[in-house]
Amino acid sequence: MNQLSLYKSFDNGSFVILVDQAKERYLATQNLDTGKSVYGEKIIKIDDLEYRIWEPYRSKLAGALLKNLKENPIKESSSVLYLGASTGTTVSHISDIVGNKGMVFAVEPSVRVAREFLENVASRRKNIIPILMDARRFLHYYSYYGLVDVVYSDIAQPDQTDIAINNCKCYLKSGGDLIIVIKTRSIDVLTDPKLVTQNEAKKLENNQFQILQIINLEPFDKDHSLIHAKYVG
Amino acid sequence: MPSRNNKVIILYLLSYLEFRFMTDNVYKFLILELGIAIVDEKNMIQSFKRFHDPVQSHLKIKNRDYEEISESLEVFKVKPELLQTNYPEIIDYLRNNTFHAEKISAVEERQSQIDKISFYTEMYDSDQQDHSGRGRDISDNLREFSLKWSSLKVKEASEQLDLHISQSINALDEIDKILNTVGTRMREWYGLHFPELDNLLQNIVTYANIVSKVGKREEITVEFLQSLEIPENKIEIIIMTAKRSKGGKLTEENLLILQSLANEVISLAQIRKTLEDHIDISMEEISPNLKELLTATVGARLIAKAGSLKRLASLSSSTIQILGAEKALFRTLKTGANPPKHGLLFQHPVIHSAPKWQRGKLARAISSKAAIAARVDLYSRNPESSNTLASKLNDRITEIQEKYKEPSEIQQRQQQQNFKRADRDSYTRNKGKQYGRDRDKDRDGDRDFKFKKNKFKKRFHKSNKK
Repeated sequence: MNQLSLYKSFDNGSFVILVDQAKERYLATQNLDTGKSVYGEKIIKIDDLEYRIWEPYRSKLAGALLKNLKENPIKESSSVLYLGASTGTTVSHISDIVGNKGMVFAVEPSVRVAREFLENVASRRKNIIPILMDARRFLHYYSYYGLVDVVYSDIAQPDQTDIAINNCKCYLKSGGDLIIVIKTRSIDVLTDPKLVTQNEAKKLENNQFQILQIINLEPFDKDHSLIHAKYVG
Repeated sequence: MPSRNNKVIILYLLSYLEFRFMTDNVYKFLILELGIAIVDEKNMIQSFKRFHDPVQSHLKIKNRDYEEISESLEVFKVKPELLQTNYPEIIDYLRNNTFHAEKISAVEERQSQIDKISFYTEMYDSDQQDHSGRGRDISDNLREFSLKWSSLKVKEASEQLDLHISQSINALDEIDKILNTVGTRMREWYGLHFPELDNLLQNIVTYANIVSKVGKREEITVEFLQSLEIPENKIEIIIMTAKRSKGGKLTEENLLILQSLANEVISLAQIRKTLEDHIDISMEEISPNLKELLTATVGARLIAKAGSLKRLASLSSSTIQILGAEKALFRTLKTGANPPKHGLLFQHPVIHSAPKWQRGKLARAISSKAAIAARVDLYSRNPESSNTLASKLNDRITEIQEKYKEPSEIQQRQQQQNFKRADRDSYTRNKGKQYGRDRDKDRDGDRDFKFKKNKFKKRFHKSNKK
């Protein structure tokens, strides 16, 4: 990777695509927390602006964008409920995108991972509100600020779709977007991944969701797929 | 009579409905992150109280200290018929104060989420702050609260003793690994100089002591060996063999490095000892029942595998039985092979000393009592229960050992079959080692193998094309 230059920038301030001399493309977001790299990704300066490379093998949303996610619902100044924040790889990029006017509510039950998340991401960025709770007990996290525009769910649990639906019903505004990463192997190891994804999509449709796009994340993550849906309820 | 009864019921129902819908004496009692809000049926704010230190107030409420709540309950001059709350833990408290209280419904929860911003703005208005940066002020306060609250949770969790137990048992396992590799390397190296010692001394620490404190084999003395508490007859043999050893000479440089290796082994063994004692003591403290049933190390390994004692207590006994045999379990699910009988529990002295056909039954008996023990340790810490648990388990173990002294006929047959299969496998494996035409002839006869061969060929071609 040598000498990256700006290839395309998206109007709503979401993310940019950089290109190197061999015409290979890289996703990047403008760094909100200047000078700090969260998970060892490269920081690049172009025209006094600082960008962080968004690695598709580390973040499933980046993988989906590279696999042609038609419409990225996460824009500047939108508020996002993020279920399964983990160490904050994707959260940091989403926080870059939504900017200082937006809000990210990051839910994470595991204390061990949250320790790093709090230290490296949440305490350094002003638009992140960490919530250390199980997403199953969604009625318990009273620390909440109105309804959100987007719910992003990335939890490896057998009932991950139900958890996401419950959270949406409580916190997603009608007409808002749900992005859910289906980890088929943690729902069912035995059945075919395609079938599992179909079943989960059907479950969403039965709960007042309108499926917009289903993306198979194949080269970046094995047996994972990402569903983009709209909440009509 | 029945018609009269019905009338009474209908009247009662009507009055209940009236109470439920006609009165506006129903309030929502919402505990929010920055304060307490009391809202009436039409979502109009009746009262709100801002916490001065939100983290402390939430801690108080969590620890069932309801001082702040009772203050804001004094707002009601007439006691409300029904209170709805978003915080399930305080329902009992509200009921004790002669309020009807219930959990807020999901629809109303959502509605209060929508209204929350207005709650906060009004809360801040009442404080008569300047209106300019209010929105930012609220979200800054929210963020500050949630950061502090979650750091507090992290801190709380890091202080739990069971996490320390699982760390120390993992450290013990890792040190065992290192001790093994470094120890064998030391034996191998010193074996160049004094090869016979390897067979004479089993204990790695005494071996390392000899290497580090004496060094060359000619300098080994009887007094030194006596100080290491080696039996008399062995000392004689060691001195004898040292005199006519087949080993080569050792240069000073090599000896120095070897001695530092040996010192490493000794210090590792010391750490191992302290870790073992520490696990023993802290298991006694945190889960005495589990320790009584499973021995300290096996109990600690179970806790480490499950993540914490709390999580172990929430597992079913069947899960505990195969904890640590996940690979075999998934093989069963995928291919229908025999399910694993035991995972980590195999290290339990009763199970691994038992004959093969008893192990499954023993593992089941032990895991069922272990599940109970973990729950007792977590929730009640009743020392008496360990006696009853252990005696019941012992009864069951002796029962199994007597009832299934011999394997059943089916098991015997299976064992014979397994033996035959193993025999056949080793036969065909040896066939593979033969050279020449005969080998290929034999393999072609095996249909299964042929199929595999073809499959391999296809795959090979595919990858070549790419």
